[in-house]
Amino acid sequence: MPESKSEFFRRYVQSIADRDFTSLETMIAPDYVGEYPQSGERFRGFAAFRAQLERYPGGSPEARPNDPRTKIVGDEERWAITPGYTVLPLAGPERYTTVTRTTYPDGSRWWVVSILTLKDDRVAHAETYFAPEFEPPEWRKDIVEIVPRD
Amino acid sequence: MFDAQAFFVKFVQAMDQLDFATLESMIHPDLVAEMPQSGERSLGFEGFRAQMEQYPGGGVQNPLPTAARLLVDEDRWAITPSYTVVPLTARNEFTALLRAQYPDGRWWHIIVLIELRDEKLYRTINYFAPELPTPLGESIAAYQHG
Repeated sequence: MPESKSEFFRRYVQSIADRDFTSLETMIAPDYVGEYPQSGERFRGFAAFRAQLERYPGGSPEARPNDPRTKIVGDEERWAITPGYTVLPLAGPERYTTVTRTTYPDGSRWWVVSILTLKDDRVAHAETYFAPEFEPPEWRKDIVEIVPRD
Repeated sequence: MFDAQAFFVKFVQAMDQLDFATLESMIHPDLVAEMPQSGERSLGFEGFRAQMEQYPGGGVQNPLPTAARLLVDEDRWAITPSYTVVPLTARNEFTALLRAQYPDGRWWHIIVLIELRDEKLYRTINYFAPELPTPLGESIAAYQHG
């Protein structure tokens, strides 16, 4: 059975966590473009993808791809229905959102949200955001529930 | 067909104008809004409104619509064996990207995973990512949590 998109992205996230660059190279498009909108950085190609993971100050962040809060939001279940009620496969760009929780070398936890675009079954574009954990502010403690974090 | 892009633009504009009547009409009675970074969860329109109204410093200076994007895949299509382009069934899950300036002057990127139900906002998972100096890796390492 061919690998589903969900399986592809779980493998992608796991490969990043494991720093499995052999696998990652097969999953990254030759003309890959990665963007960090928070700082305006953009990098191109697998070598740059790899370098920015390897050169992280203080060592690599510890990703938690098996965390149940890891999410992959995409088009796996999209379909089209013709007027004759035939279900059709889709064509066009495929875009997915992945969410993972990561612990950095200083112990801080961040949520990493990536908007990934596939081309020819490889990741061709990644737009990644890094969102730090924070304590619930006092001013809204009476208007929200607090879900315990581990 | 429900136009998610138009819905989203209208929603952002209503937030920008603090138009709570419009917002209430677009929010599902069972809305659950989560903020995983802090573990917070708010329920319903009243929780949504209270957060907007009580934000210290007068609320978020909401982004211009041009600073917001909804990944709605409008350029997706399906092709029948006879090469007829047919419309898609409506989706109910989207990712929205916004950039907002807070009262202290700092800019943040806001990523919202959205689920719609009955053409209203039903579930949101919200992530807040601060703008940081380049290189981002060093900025994350030096980030002052608080």
